[in-house]
Amino acid sequence: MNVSPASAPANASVALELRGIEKRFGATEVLRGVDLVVRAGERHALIGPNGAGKSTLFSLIAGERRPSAGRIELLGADTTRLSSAALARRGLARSFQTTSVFARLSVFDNVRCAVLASRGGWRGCTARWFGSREVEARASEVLEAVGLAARAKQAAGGLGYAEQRALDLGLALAGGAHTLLLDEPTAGMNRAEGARAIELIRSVTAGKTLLIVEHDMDAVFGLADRISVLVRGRVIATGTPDAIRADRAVREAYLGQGFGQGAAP
Amino acid sequence: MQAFAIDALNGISYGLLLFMLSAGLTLIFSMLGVLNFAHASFYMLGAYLGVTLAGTLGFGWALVLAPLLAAVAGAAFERALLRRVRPGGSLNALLLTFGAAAVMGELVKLAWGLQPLSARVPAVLDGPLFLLGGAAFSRYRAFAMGVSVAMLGVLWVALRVSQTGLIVRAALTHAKAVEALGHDVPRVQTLVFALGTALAALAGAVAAPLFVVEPAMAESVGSIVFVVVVTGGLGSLAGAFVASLVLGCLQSFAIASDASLGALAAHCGLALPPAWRALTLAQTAPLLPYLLLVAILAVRPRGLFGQLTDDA
Amino acid sequence: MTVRIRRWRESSPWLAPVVTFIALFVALFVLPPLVSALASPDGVPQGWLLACLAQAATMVVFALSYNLLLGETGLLSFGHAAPAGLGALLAAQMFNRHAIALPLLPLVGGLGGAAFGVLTALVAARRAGTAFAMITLGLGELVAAAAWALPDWFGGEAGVGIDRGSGPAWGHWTFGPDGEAYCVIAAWCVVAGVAIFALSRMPLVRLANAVRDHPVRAAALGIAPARTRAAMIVWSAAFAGVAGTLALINVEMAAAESVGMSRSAAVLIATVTGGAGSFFGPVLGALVWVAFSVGVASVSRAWMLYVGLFFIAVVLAAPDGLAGVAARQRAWVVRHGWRPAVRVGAAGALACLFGALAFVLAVQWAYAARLRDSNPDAWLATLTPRDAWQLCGALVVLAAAAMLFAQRARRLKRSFDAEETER
Repeated sequence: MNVSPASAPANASVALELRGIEKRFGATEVLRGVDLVVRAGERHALIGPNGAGKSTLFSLIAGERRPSAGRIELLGADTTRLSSAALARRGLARSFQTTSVFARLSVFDNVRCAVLASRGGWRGCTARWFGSREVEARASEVLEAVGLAARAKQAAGGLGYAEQRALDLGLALAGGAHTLLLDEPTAGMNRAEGARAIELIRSVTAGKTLLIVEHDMDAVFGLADRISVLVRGRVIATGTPDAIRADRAVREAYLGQGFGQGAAP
Repeated sequence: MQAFAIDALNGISYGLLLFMLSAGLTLIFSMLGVLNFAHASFYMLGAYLGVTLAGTLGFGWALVLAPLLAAVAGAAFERALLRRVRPGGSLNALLLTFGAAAVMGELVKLAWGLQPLSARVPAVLDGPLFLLGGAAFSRYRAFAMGVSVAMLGVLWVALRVSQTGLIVRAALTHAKAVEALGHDVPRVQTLVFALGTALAALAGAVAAPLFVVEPAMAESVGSIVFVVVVTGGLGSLAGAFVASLVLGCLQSFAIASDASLGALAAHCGLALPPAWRALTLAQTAPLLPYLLLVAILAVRPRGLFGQLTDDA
Repeated sequence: MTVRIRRWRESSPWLAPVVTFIALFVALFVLPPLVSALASPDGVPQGWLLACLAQAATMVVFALSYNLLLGETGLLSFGHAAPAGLGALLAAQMFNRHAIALPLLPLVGGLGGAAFGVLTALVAARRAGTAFAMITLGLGELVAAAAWALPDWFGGEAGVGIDRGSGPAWGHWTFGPDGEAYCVIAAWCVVAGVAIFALSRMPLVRLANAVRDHPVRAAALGIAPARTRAAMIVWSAAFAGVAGTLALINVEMAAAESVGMSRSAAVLIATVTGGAGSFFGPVLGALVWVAFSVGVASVSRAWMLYVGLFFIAVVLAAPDGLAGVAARQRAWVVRHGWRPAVRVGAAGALACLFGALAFVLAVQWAYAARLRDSNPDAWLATLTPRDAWQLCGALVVLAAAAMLFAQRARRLKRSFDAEETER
């Protein structure tokens, strides 16, 4: 399926919806009925204390695992049982938390593969065989946007950590997906690097729907339009950053974890 | 009917020997993440050592010493070579064991020569155990079955009951966590590798009188064992057990039957060209393990009891 | 001079490797027969030389086809002789039944190999790594066992033979004589080599590289790993069929041996020792393999032991093969200059020479003592005890010399590296 490099369609107001998602591993219940609505074009953050089930929920949405119960809808269509490749073809892209670039390919080839993957049909076929100027132009464009144009010919395995995360973001963008899932984009970075990463995300994902799973709450508070808080397998609150900061249930859940700098007690 | 029972028993005894081999291989795979291509070479080493030691020290001692010597060789191999290559990925380790298999084959040829060795069945185990109708079930095959079952029983109990067994079972799935608890996981890995090769050598020593002991035995048995392990699902002992028994019985029935392909095809209503019709099932018996592999994988790519992996 | 070469290489990344390949080809496969023909009284090159070079050319194509699987897609196959032998069989049967010009026969073989590749892909493309390797082992053994059990296909023990001269002629050439057949084989070696190189530059193969490096990430981008692997399996099998047909043209027979596991092992060893990470690695590995299996095998029974130990050494110390070692040495020379390289290289070469001599003597002695028969090294078994002790002493001296030179080489290298970092 050809995915045109556009932002979320204007007629659908809900990009991603989760209804009653449950996940059990044997006898252990990790997710106990998660309901989540991500509106088209908004930046939605998912936060929660350790062990809340954020990674599990992320892997369910990204198509790595199947939920034990519940329904996931992307742009109104049921995508609960789709694989990650099928989701990618429907315009849902994801980033990875651990190193996940194609280490032995050059940076340019990394992005070119991502662009090629989203081109289907006859044009895609000829592009895979004979190359395509359009594909290469788009790849260069993405590299510029994430600031790696100078490193185009280097092997991706030789990049520094922050640059690899930038390349990872570029790979997620290159296919022209309208919805992006970002898995802890500032993990392993200090405050300055994290702020730069958030700025990069903000600049390259204009107009796209974003669902970010994050640990660093300050980073997320500056970026997100709405925040959902996942505690012990359930979403206990959803709202604007200010509303979440003031919510008592959220503060009880985070008691003693230094929640929000300068928050009112 | 009696012939069927005898064939079935023969098949089960062969299947249990196969399981002894594939159990060791599966343990090594689960613990170290490496498929030991040289596993059948240790089987061959056990057979050669068993025959040589039986000639001087007697059958009983041969059955004890051959696996011990093979275990020492296996432990040395793992510590000196395999450990250095494992960080480079599982394919590199597989290649190393492939090279080791080739070298071991050559060394066996150097040490024992190219001619097949004749292994004698000890007098007390020679002869039929019982007769069903006109067909006999040999005592030695029953002995082989007994050794397989006993060895596997001991292994199962040791893994369930002993402290080391507990560490091994935990390290099978969570090596890093076990190491963080302070246990010496590399030593446990060497131990498991030695155990696996000892099982292979024991199978070899026991099987020596049943099959031909020659330098090519490693390749022929090796391929079948790998087929068993993949068909059952890589890393699954239950799968290896089922696959070994199915294969053992299948081979046994095929070799014992004198049906021809033509008769079978006629049964199903198909007509075959003359050269194919004359082929007997026994002649096509060597193909059966691999046909089983293709058939099972076509239907279920991860094998009978295999886990979904990151192959994507 | 080096700057100009570098600029030339960057301007057209295709040109340099293709030119190098053609230059290498001319040096190895065109010049020796020409020289031999000029030197011989009747103007015809030596038969054994042509046979040897033809084998080498076949092995080069075989190893390049194997690298499409191993190097580009990261799939290790233990049964690569199956598409090669089946392609040769199809070509032989078709040649005997229809009038196909001999130079076009490898195309038929390629189709046969590709057909088997499709079957392989149906069963194996969804797996990778160890599972894939074992499935190809099973398939390879299936074909090998079928070749013996089902004699109709493979014409029994004698195999399916062809008579090269019985096909349609091209002008004066009937392809019966060895020289004409050799020209066909050598020409196909170049064509197949360039074709594989061209294929490996296409974006399709970059996708296969991506699946090799990180299949989960590739899937998350929308690249279906199974489909990409399937495509590469078919391409690799097609070129293997071409290689098998070249062997058919050389020996005029497609036998059960050509699908045997020893051939699968041979191409694996050749590609891994040569280096799976580059285009020239398999070429180098194929030449080394032929040197061992034809050259060394004719003088020593222990050649397989040498190959096995060499293979283990490569996997342990240089996983990127001889080509990788060569690339690293070249980088070292570029950084440090020629004269230091010559000094280190001389010490290293002497170490290798003495060590190899000691090792070979020891191994041959062991073999001669064990298998007493009439071989070139049989004299080793008939040594008097005094001579035996002298030989032992010589071995010890050689080994010590090897270790001394190795140490010197290492020390020199370290001192040059230290100088470099100081600068």
